[in-house]
Amino acid sequence: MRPLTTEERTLITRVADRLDQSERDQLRADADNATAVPATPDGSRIRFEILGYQRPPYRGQHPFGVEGKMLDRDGTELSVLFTRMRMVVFWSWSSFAGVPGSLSIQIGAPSSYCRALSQSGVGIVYAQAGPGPEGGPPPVSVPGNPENEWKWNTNPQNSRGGSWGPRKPIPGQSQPSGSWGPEGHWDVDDGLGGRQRYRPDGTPISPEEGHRGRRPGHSEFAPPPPNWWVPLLPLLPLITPWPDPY
Amino acid sequence: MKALNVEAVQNWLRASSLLGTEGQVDLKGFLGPVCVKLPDETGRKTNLARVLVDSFGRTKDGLLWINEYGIWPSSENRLIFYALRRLIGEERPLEDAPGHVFRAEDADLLSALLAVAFYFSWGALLVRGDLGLIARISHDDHVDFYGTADALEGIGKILTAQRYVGPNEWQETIGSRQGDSGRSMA
Repeated sequence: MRPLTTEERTLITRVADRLDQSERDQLRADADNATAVPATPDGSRIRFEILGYQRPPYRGQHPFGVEGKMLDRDGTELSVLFTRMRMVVFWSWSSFAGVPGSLSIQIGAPSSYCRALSQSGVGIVYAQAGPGPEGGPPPVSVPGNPENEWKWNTNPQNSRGGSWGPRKPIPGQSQPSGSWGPEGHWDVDDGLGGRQRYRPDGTPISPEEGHRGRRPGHSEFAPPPPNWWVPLLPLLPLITPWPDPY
Repeated sequence: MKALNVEAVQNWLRASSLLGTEGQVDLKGFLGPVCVKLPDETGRKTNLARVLVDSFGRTKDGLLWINEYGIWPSSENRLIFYALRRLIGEERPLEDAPGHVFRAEDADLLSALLAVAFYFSWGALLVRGDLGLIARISHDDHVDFYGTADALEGIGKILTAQRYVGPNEWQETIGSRQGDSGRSMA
């Protein structure tokens, strides 16, 4: 158990800013009384507990929605959830392929989102659910080297926190790379100055089609529309891989 | 010209009432976007950078925020970018100082930085100092223009005259956006 870091407190404040007045004030007050508790042995998930909070009778975890999203240092999307006992839980949601059967939960390292905050300074970054380092590589083979495999590389020189590159470097040229954009498509650089965009299913699209994925006229990173997995949220207690905190 | 880190960029946006609750740019209230595809030819990109600076860089302090980079690494050569930034004594890497506040006297350097952003297919936000005109440049080689009706009409005439958009194309797009609520400028 430890006090919240400045970054963690900032994040909670940013989440609070999106709530109604009473909820906002309550969450801020909660943050003042909160401590951070590693919830897994490797510290890959962190839980904030509110001191003095009276827990309601046991009713399961009852997550009531994704309140925010952000990208961690590795580009993995983290979801910020509130439970009815007002614990704020961060995890990454890696599944995107559009196949409900592939639904899985990956855990984001707490140090990652802190880094994301300090690097981007944007608090919560809204983005469509998309593959990050654990979420799967581009849906196409490595350009010019199809027998190669994709490997995630964290890279601060990429505004998305990193990109996929060939597991075995290709000699004599720049390395191909691929990264997922919040507009809803893959951007794949062939390492030779060529660029190609792909839909999640691997269908090539033009720059125009890729650009159309942006939302015109409003906040640059507006909250995404409900994704296919939102209706599955009530099922989360059944697949949550950690013991119920109650 | 002065380079800014992300926090300073956000402070600039906040002071300009352009900062959304999510920490990014809030373009509500502006007319637009009017989308223009970047030309393929390098020469046309160089010229477009000058054209935009003529329209964006002649007022009080404006902002160039490069916010998409590294997406097309084999198209980039950061030595060029950093050599330009050394002209203002800036030694920090792009990711540590992605913003640039510019004044009218920075027009040459601003057009060079903008041209480099076009060459490398970087995404960026370009805000005119009077907040009447905003360009959002995407890594998908398009520019979205937002602004007041007068400002959009003005840049539209220039881009049409210079054949970056086809005849009547800009007006048709603007016409389809007339239902949006425009932001009144001080």
